[in-house]
Amino acid sequence: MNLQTGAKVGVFICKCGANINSVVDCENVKSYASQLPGVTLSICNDYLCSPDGLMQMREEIRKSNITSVVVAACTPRICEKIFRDNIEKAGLNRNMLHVANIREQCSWVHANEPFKATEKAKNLVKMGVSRAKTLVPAEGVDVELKQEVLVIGGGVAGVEAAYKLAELGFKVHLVEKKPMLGGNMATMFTCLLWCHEAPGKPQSLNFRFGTFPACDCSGCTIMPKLNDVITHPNINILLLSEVKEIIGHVGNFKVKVLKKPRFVDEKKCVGCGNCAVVCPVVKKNEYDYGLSERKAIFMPYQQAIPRKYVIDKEACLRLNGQECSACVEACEFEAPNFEDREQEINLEVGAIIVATGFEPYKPRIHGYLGYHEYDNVITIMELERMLDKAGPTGGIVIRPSDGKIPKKIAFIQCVGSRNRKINAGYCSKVCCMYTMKNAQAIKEVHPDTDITVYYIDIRAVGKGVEEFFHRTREDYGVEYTRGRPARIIEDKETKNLIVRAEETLLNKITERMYDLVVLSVSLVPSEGTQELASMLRLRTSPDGFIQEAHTRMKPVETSMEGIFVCGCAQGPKDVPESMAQARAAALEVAVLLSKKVAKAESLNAFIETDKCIGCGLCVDICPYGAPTPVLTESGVKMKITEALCKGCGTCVVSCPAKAIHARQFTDDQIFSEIKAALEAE
Amino acid sequence: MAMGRARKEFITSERERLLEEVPIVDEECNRDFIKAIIEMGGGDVQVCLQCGNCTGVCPVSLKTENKIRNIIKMCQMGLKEKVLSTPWVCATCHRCYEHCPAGMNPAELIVALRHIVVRELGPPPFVVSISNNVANLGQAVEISDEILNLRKKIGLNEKPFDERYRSKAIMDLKTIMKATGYDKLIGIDLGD
Ligand code: SF4
Ligand code: SF4
Ligand code: SF4
Ligand code: SF4
Repeated sequence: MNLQTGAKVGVFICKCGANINSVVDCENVKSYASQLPGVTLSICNDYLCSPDGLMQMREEIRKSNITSVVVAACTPRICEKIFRDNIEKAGLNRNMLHVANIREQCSWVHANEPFKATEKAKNLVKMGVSRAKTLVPAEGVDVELKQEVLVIGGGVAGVEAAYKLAELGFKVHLVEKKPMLGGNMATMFTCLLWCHEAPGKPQSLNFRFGTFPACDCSGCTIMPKLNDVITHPNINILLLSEVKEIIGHVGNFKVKVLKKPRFVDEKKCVGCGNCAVVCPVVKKNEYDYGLSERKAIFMPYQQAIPRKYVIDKEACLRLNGQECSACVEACEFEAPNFEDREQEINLEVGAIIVATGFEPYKPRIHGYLGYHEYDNVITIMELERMLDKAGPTGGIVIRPSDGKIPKKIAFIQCVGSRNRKINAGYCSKVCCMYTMKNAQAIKEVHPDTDITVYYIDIRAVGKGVEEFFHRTREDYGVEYTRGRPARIIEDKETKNLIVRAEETLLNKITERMYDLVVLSVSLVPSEGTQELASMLRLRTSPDGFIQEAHTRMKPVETSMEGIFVCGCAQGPKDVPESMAQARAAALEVAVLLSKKVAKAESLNAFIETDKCIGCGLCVDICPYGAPTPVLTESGVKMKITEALCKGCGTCVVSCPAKAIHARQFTDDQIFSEIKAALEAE
Repeated sequence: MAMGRARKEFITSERERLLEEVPIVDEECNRDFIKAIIEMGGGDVQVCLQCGNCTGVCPVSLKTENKIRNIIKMCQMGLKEKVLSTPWVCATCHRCYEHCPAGMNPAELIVALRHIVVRELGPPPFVVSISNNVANLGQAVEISDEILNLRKKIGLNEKPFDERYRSKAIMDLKTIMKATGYDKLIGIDLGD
């Protein structure tokens, strides 16, 4: 066995206050450890990771000339880095550390059996000491960090993160699938200005209705930011674009982006719309959820940024082999460009921010709420578009069946969320509030509307939000009824809707008639999130959103170093929270890249070139793409790029020639632990 | 209770006597009941959100005072005595299950409650008589003499079924009932 000659092991046991010590008898572990062969020193500390604890550790290491360290404390996921840094400060190589987890693996799981927990802790320490003697110093590798950033998604979160990084001087590539920026937030234009002009009197002059709880028009609030972004010299905006391939690692990702043709020259188009007037093709406008019509050459919605037209490839006559040049003739600026082709753009970036956002849940075709069957059942997004003064209905709420203004409206909460049947057990977090906002907005525009909200629970948390809920009921007279509707029946003649539900607080089944039913649909991960996650090798949580590295301590980091997440891509959230996360992600990127060079922990695997038979099994099996073939004098051999390798060890066990070793888990190290575990006392 | 009378009594300060509702106290809440239900295949009642969707689709709940959601709530609180002594009816149509967003199956809960009642309080009389009918006649309800006479009168076979197949089926039924211990559980005599 490859022992360090004359290894002097120091054992440091953390009591973690009562967290470990109330179950595991730490003093007992300490005296047990002190007589293990090779152990020079064994001490306990109340909080080893506190400044005092760390200082004591450094002093003891220096005083007793310790050569390797065993820390018996909590999970290495939390404490390993702290202690590696600390022993480095004490003059040891940072690799000379072993962490025995006596909290999660002893005191927490065996809380009812203190004696056995203590015995187990002793064993873990014994194994650790045995391994510590086989540790060898190792240096991490230097990785150069490219000073450019890729932001995927041009909604409020992506735009904010891109803007902040650009201001800090980083070059940012902002990739957005749609022809405009601003995401979902930019489609919500409900504001005070038009309340005055709309039928009915506004009840209060201080209200705007964009996003809760301040209710200023979300479109108006995001617009200045979007303008800043499109004119920023450090931001390269790629619209109609999708990331197709990403390889590489923190500091150096190689990204392939596919940019679809707009067929309108962005530089020439001034957004006058003369082309659309003459275009003969009429289609339903998907950006207005089918409530309005558009031409083959169109602007998604009036306030879209940038204000550039786009041609729908499927709908355009000319692009489908027919004679037509109406738009070309109408355009003074010669903007329509039928030669536009798909482009492949290659980028090299040091870090990536995923901000792909959400999309509203689409009710099922055979759903019991009749969304696809009944004209007057709509979703909240359709309502949002109706409430836009420049939107499809000019800012008034209508019944799609006959265009009349509804007098009685029902909102149904939790459509698509809190539903395990469709694998969406989560709460979408914002629906309670957007319903309040929209109910208030309707009452402002049409004050004599009766509104009832069917809910299971109201979740009105956050600054000012409970008050907002009270205003909805008290000032606006919106009625709340507790029960998830069981059925909606349409009156075939009037197209009115009967909602059957239990009023659970009364223990009575109710059947009430409405002119319009609005489904408060949930937020689901935007289309393609799963594909993107697997391309980037990110984990997703069971609800399909991107999983952050640690819920509390690493909220915007992901399982991949150098890749961050913010906004609704990580889970449903409101605008303030998305903004905060976007800034956090930007800060993390800035902190990372500002170092210019990063040292990767020596957690990787390496290949003994002589032993490698060049079979390439490791190349196929590595989840991080670390091993690659290189041509050497003795034929093709594999080499592991250390910055890419996560040290997972998959290749190590797969290598038929036993040529690969994981630095932190060599055979020597593992066998030394196993031997210690099996040794008789 | 007539409103007039209630008001009068109230005014004459006999308020206490009017409060029929007795508060539920801790002693009644037996959370082991939840485990017993799970053991009997009723699922975990703790997943229920009390949203009321099941009640809304239940063909029976409109006609009963205790809606299916109420039964689930009582089970959540572990109100065993109350649940077992509460009249509940269920057609086992499973509509509630189709609609429940929480993945609860109230119909199966009711089946589990039936198991518990039969084991702890004994089977209700109508169950015994129906089981007897099934075991001896091969059907839950006995054909009345009136129908048999009518059949004879208009020249049909007296029995509307073939006796040979029927007795074979009854034999099979009895074998199953014995093998599963159903006869003992319900307390019916199957002979030898
Ligand atoms: S060429 Fe295409 S986009 Fe232009 S007017 Fe004709 S159909 Fe419309
Ligand atoms: S240890 Fe894991 S990450 Fe490293 S090269 Fe092997 S398989 Fe890839
Ligand atoms: S299975 Fe029973 S409880 Fe469920 S809906 Fe049908 S009758 Fe009601
Ligand atoms: S539908 Fe499901 S969650 Fe809702 S009350 Fe019934 S059992 Fe509970």
